[in-house]
Amino acid sequence: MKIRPLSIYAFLYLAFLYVPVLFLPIFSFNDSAIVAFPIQGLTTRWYENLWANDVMQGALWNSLRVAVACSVIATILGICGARALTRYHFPGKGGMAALIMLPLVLPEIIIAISLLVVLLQLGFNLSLISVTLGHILMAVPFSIAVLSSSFEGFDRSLEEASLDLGEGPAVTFFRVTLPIVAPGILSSLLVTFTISLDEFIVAFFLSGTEPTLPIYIWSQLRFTAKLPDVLALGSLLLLASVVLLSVAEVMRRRAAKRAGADPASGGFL
Amino acid sequence: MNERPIIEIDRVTRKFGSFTALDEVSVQIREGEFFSLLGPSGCGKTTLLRQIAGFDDPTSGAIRIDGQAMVGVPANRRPTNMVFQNYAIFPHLTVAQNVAYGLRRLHLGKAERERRVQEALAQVDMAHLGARRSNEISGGQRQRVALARALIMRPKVLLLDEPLSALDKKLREQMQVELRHLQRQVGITFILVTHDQEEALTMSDRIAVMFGGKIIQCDSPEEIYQRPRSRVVAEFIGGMNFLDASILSESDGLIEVDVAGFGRAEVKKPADTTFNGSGLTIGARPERMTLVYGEDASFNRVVSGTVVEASYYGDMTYYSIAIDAVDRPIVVSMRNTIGRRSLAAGEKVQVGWGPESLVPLT
Repeated sequence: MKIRPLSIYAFLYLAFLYVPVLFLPIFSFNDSAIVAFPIQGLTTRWYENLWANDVMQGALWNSLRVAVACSVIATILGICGARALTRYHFPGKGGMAALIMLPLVLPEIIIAISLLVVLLQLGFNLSLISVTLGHILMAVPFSIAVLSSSFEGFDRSLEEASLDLGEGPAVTFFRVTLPIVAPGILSSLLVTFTISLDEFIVAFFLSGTEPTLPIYIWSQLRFTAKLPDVLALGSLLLLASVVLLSVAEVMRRRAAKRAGADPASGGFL
Repeated sequence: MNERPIIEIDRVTRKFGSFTALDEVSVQIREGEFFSLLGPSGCGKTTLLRQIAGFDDPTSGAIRIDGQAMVGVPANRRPTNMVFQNYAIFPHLTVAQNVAYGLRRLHLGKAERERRVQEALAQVDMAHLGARRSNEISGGQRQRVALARALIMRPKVLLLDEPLSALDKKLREQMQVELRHLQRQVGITFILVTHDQEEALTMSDRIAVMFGGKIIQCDSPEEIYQRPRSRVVAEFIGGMNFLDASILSESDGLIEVDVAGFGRAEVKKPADTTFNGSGLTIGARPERMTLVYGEDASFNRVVSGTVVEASYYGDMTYYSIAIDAVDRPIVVSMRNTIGRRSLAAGEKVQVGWGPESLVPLT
């Protein structure tokens, strides 16, 4: 088989993307505090450290709570927004859509500082709740972007058929609309969960005394001796995201198949 | 069928901005009738159907179903059910779940619900496919599911929005017969929207022909076909020759006309129609005239012509025939029965006709 230039390019591109990530698990088993080749020997010491590290576990727990709350709330808001933007015509729609999508392009640090100023002015105490609010603000545009494509492909006569068969608008939404856009909702939950989980700047400004996982990791990086711990943590997170993505994709495909769509289209994998 | 109107459309107008989709439409549809709304796309027929279903309300005018005022009543509280153009089968449900969809609100027992679903599926020959997913059935089967799903609600009126347009020709013809049969069986008023004149002619008790937001003729299929009132209706339905004529005299029920190239004839005058001026257009269907082969002298009214073109359709051949004093060739169709010789272009023929070949048009 002839090796084509584009294949070489694609291979190099993928290597550039993923080889650094592969160093994470390799060095996390390296029996040396110094992250450098050659490998000194195998150890699970760093993982044992993690297991005993209450602060890290607290940060992980904080991050998970924030991410779950953020993904659920942002997706609910996204459903409302995407439906309004794809279904209805109203004055100021274009401007409103632009403003909702603006956080996608605004520098995060600007959002973080302005939120900090406003929350302090309003007399809020900085806590995980303020972090969640900030993350929702950032996640809603992603949710709307993902859900809009779902809603746009939605055949409106299905809702009319439900009305025609005697169901009111609310029941119609739960019996027809929701099940059919379920794959989009699943994608939105996944995207917003991930955004919240690895978000650093907004969390850094708004978290007060309860650190989320990225903030904890950042704080550990100042100590060279702690670096292997972080590598072990990173490896676990990598594994978790691969598992999570796979499960979500399987569920999405199943839902898409049930909804009669082509399961191979519209996913992340 | 009885004479009681189940649906009364009373001067219904619907405007979308400056565009008038329905212009003072009034029509009464009788109980148990198979009624068709026929017209080209954009004539307002689907808009009118959606007004009856409750997906849209008129700008002005009234709609009554079984004596009840319907304007402002949402679709889910109207005694109508609809078969959508794309069938709108719920993709996340099985065939049986689709059919059972509307029964939830009736709070039937499980056994009764299943009995009704089976009955409705059997009615459309789908009893064995209840467990199928909606993406595992064919187009014709989807249409049957849509029918069963609507009929199970026992509506006073069933609305069909171009239900056969997505099917291929053979299946469409088969479904035309089945739909007609089903309608007689259940006795429910059917309102069919279609742009296919043949479909409307074969299935309907009455047809309303719509153009530009108005019903311009509402009659039985035979009346519509044989005695179209206006040139637009005649042009839309079937093939028609248009001949110039002048009015010689008018008496009650008859007008005497002089048709260019053909000569004088007394033709039936349609009720409550007035013709302005002395000229009018006469329509003549290709199959209401005949070609007289040289040896046959039994036709007393004939005009001479020359075959310009022959179009062979299998069972029929359509001949274009040039006649002196008629500016365009007229079309005459002949059934290809045994022993009938095909004519070639350039042959001289005699066209036989009579007063009953001619329809005065406004």
